[in-house]
Parts: sequence; C-alpha cells; structure tokens
Amino acid sequence: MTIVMGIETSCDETGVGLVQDGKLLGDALASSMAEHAIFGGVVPEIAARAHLQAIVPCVQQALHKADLDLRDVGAIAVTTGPGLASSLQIGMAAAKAYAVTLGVPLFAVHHLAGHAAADTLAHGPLPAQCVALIVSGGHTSLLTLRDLAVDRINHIGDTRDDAAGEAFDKVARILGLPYPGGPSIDAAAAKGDPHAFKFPRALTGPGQPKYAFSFSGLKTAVARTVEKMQLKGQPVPVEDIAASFQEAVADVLTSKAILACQEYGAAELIVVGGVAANSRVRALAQERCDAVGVELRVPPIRLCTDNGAMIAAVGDLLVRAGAKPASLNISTTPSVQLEYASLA
Amino acid sequence: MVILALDTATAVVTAGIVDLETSRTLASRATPDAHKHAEVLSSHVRDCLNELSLAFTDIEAVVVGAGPGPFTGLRVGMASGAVFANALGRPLYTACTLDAIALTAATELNEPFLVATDARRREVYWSIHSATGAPLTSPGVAKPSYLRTWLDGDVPDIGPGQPPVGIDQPISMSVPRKAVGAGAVLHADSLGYADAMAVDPMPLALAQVAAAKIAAKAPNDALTPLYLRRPDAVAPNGNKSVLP
Repeated sequence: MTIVMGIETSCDETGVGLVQDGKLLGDALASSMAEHAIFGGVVPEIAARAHLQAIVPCVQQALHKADLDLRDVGAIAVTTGPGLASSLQIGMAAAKAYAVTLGVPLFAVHHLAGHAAADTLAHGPLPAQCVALIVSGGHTSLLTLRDLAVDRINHIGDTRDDAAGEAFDKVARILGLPYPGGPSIDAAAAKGDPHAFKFPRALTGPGQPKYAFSFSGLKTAVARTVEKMQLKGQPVPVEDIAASFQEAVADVLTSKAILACQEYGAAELIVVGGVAANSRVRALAQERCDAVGVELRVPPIRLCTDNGAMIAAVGDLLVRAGAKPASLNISTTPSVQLEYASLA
Repeated sequence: MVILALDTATAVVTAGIVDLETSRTLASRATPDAHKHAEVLSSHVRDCLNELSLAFTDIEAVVVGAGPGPFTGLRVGMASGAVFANALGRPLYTACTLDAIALTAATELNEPFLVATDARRREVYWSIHSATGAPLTSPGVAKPSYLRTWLDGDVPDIGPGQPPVGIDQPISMSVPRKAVGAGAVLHADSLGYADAMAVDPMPLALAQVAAAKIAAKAPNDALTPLYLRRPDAVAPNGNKSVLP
C-alpha cells in the first residue's frame, strides 16, 4: 500500500504526517503560536517565515518517527486551501518539490476535509453517512459527509461572522486572558459558574436559520458586560464570565449539531477542529449525543488542532479511491469553499 | 559539476541546470510573472531535466537565490530549494540575488554600478557593485528618492515607519554612473538613471556566486532569506469600547 506524506501549512502550524492504509505511521508539528501571542492573533507574515524554517525539519522528524526513508513515500498530499495565502504557498512549494523529485503523485487537499479525516486515524473509517461539526479558529461549519474521497460534501451551515475559535481568542483578550483563547478560557471556566451570566445564543430562535452560526454578537455581549462593570468600578468575575461564555458557545454548537443528526438521519456525529479540544464542547456533545442515541466521535486533542497527519489521511483516502492527482502547476486557493476533499 | 539553480526573488521565476566547470547553462526556464512563483517553479525544474535527459540524481548541489525580494515569492524558491536539496541528499547553498544580477551585468559594464530590483511599495532593493560585479555595499531597501538623495551625498530625512536599510550613513565611495535591474528600470526617473538596463538573475550567475562554497564542499547554508524588512504587525493596545 502507498505511504502518503501529508503537508499542512495553512495557518500557524507546520505539520507533516505519514499515513498508510488509514494508519498514522509518524508525524511532526512545529508551531509559531508563541510568536503571535503579543499580537493577540496570528500574524500571516510571522507564520510564513516560521513555515519556511520548519518545513524540511518537520519532514525529517516525521520520517524519523515512522522509521521511514523519503524513498518509501509513494504520494504527497498538501493543503492548498483554505488558509493564509503566504503560509499555504510554503507547503505547496515544498510538496511540489518533493513530488517532482521523488517522482510521485501530488494530491491537493481541502483543509477542512483534513479535519474530518483526522478522526479516521483515531477511530477507523467513517460510516457511509454522518454529520461533521468542524469548529476552529478560522471555521465553523456543519456538514453531512458520505464517502470523503469521492462524494460531494454537503454544507448545511456555516458561521455568518466570527468562527467559534476566533470568539474564544477575542473574549480571552477582553478578559485579559492569554492567547490562544481556547485553552485559557477553558482553564478559567473550570473555576467559574456557567450560569452566572445569561449570554445570547444567536440564531437559535423560532424561524431563524437552523444550522447557521453567529458568534460576533456573543463576543460583543461579553465586552459590554465587562465594560459596564469596569465603568462602575466593580471587579470583573473573569472565571464566571469565561464559564458562561463557553457554555453559550458549547450550547449553540452542540444543539445545532444534534438537530442536524436527527434531521439527516445520521447515527454518528464527528466533532473536529481546534475548538473540539474544549472540554465543555466535548462534554456537552457527549451528553446530548447519549440522550438521543447518536454516537459521538471526537479525535484526540493533538489530531483536533491543525496537523499534517490529517492531510495525509485525506491523501490516503484519495489514493485508495483512485482519485486524479493534481497538476504540478496547481495554485493555492486561500478562500475556497469545501465541496470536495480533493482540490485537484 | 551539475548544479540546480533557482531564484524567485524577482518577478521572474527562474530555474536552470548549469555546469560550473565549463560555465555553461545546460538548460533553463524563466517565467516573468510575479504571481506564479509557486505554480511554475517545480515544473521548470522538471522540464530542464527532461530537456537534458538528466535524472535528479545527476544534480550535485542546489543553489537558491536568497533575495532580497518580495517575501512570499522569495520563500517559494527558498522552500523549494531546501526540499530539492533534502530530497536529493545534496548540499544547499544560497546566493544573494543582487550579486547574481551584478555578475551578469558586469560582463556588459566596465565600471562600478548600482543594482536595484523591485521591492514593491514603491521601494527598491539595492546594492552597489564593482566593475567585476563584486558587492561594495550590503543589500539595502529604500524609496528610490531617498536612495537618490543618499547617492547625492546627503543622509535622507526619514519619517516614522519601517526604516530604509543602508542609507543611514553618508555614502563612502564614488557614485556609480550606471544602474541595472528591474527596479532601476521601473524607477529610472526618481533614481536618476535614465539609461538603466534590465538584468534578471540567471542560473549560471547564481551558481557562480556560490561557486567558492560549492568547490569547498562547505556545509549547507542556513535557510535565511534577506527580508530586510520586519513584519508590519503592530501589537494591540487595549480593547475598543463597545458601549454607546
């Protein structure tokens, strides 16, 4: 069976993974997150500079972990979109150079399909049909999946403004918690009361779009609450606000995902992306899936966040499905919508 | 010695296979498109090898232009060069792109000259070279009008923002009468070089700039692009008010 090397550089993580027949053989990850912390968000130019330094060392480390040689690699898969334009270019340039030097096919992969495929590395092949909730710093989407390698992916809902992870980063900043916001809010929320503040659940009322998301208003509601307290000279209960905000996000994400499973007759729900690492999102998703008899699949945290293994996982599915490789002249597509896993 | 040489530090995406012993370009490809670096570079390499009926394993070293150049394009060449060297198990050397342009230009000029490439943002990457092409200054980046002021013997008064590189001390050599490079042509008026000559980085010149390192079988060069500018990001200070 072909060993696929996956390369991911769409944001601030340089990821390389090696997958064969659905199994992760080895992977490596470098992150420039610490360099972005003082800016409160990812700075594209800083991320791209870091990718250039990290890409070849990550390949070498992944091969070393898998006890493989470059000559064992039979195909290259790379994220060509969506993502930061200057970052995507590094991964794509590297992938092309590896593909042409090794004389192996190149597969262009949609980043979000990678997130969905990540779970196959932890829990085996996806069912014939399922619902996937992809929640990260850049994306919030509800999808129905069939065969990821060949079938068109059906978008049933997306965020209209901020991605859920983006809201975590912005609220963390409002509360004076460190970047990235996901882990710092999760930690603060553990000591807070999730019902202390009643923050809005956008687009959940009757007659509103069932599967669309919006987190911009929630972020502003938190900002107003904090600012009013500061103006009155009151202490800001950071832990209670963090817990209440996190509860609102988890509530909206999981309630819509469960609704989608019921409407589309899916027996399994996959929750992936960086926000799937949030403890409350995981717990509430589990609770609600159990209540309606839906099986919840959430990959381990290191496969939830961006990584190269998930891109290799898509490449592996494409190779096994006999998909058409990409042209060596393919371009990156920084804002491409998810329709198919392959962007060839 | 068969060398693979690449450069993406200018609008011309260049790849070539050269023989350093005979100073011959065996095959080369160049695409003048500032938005196609990552699209065409690897194809260019493959096409050069196919033209020569060479295998990748025939390449003995990889040389890549390290700029200075617009960042996104520059990194495509450097990442690709690093990967070619890694995949082939061959050494990787970098060459200053301005030095490579100078080496080609020196065959036409017999006096010192300015090299200037397009740095976008109405600026140029520049350096001054001897009649043989050897660099007499480090690479700099500046607005053409500031560079002209500096060439005229003054230190230009610069406002806030990214400081220009290389013109903060008075010029300490005679002012070159000739200028080459796409930046010199583009800004011929404000630089004051009406007869500026377009010269692009060529694969043979890139390899020649790195020739001493190649001959000495020096260890791999660090993958250090000549950015010359910092990222533009500014750290936020405080939250905006959201109350009416």
